[in-house]
Amino acid sequence: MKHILLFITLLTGGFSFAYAQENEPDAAKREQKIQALYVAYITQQLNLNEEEAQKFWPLHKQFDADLKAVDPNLPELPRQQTVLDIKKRYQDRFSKILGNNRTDDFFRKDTEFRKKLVERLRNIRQQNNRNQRPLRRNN
Amino acid sequence: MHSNDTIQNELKELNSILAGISNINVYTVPGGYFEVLPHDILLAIQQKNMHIPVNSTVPTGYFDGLADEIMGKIRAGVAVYDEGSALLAGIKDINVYRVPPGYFNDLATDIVNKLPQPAKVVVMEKRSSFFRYAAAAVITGIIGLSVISVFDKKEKTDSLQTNTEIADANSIIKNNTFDEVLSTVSDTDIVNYLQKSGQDVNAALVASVADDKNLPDQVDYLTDDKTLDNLLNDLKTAESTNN
Repeated sequence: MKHILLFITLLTGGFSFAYAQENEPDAAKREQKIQALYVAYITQQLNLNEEEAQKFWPLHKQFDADLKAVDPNLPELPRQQTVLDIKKRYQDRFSKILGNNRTDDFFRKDTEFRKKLVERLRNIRQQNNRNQRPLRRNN
Repeated sequence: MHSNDTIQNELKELNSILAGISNINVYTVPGGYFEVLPHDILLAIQQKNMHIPVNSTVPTGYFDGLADEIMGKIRAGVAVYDEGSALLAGIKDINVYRVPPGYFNDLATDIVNKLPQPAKVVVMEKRSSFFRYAAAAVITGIIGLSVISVFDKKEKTDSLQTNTEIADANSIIKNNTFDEVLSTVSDTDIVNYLQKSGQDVNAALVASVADDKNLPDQVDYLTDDKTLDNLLNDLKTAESTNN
């Protein structure tokens, strides 16, 4: 009887673990939604065709991974310098796909997209702030 | 001669007794000693009452009747023994090694009954190896899935996720839903996304508020006297929420 219970427990645990591994966390899906917005924005702004997109996005994946690997605890100026070095390193590789002008555009549009996100964030917080003001007056 | 003197001197140094013995053969016997020696020995033995005939001779025809004489003495001895032991004589033709009838038929049972009873034997339940193998298989499966999932995740992320993102992006472009999708993104998700890419969210927020595009229009200050207060409040809010 003990063996049967142990077997069932292990089996259930195994399936649960496998199921959990198969299903991506919601946070990753939400991050993927923002990344899809980014891809859409850059694709549209740079007017990437399918052939360019197939070459550009895998390279951009490496570029993004290198940027994310920068230690956020570095002092501000060394951190910015590291980020700049990475961008310079990828500039030539992006240029081979997009050309020089569109590579410049890419870095500009990349910054613009982040500004849009910050703007959206500011709007959310302002909205939340306005919603809280009447409550403060009542208090 | 000279050597003899040397030997004598050495002997004197070693042992004065040896040196005192002159050069004479001490192992001497009187003349004709060994000729009479056997006789003297036998004589000495006889004198000590040892009945060994000096001359080892037997009477004539002694060995001819010796065997019969010995057998006769043996038979005479048995007769005397028979007469002296009536009990043994009485059982001489009886087989004393007898057991009751059927003795050996019940012997085995009797011995077994007399043996101490063995302890109760408890039969051990045979352990099924199925469960052990099944448990091992499940654990192996879990470990295997974990390893595969960890090592495979990187490749999945690089290929499938990129493809998914491109497909989602194409859908957004096609349906022109960029702003609509952006409006569904939450505060936390934006902060996480920007922080992951190494951006200082707090600084970006303050910069965003101070951006010329977000500043109120000149007319707003005329039409609403709270415009400046609202702007300052927004700046304050941005800083306070960041902190």
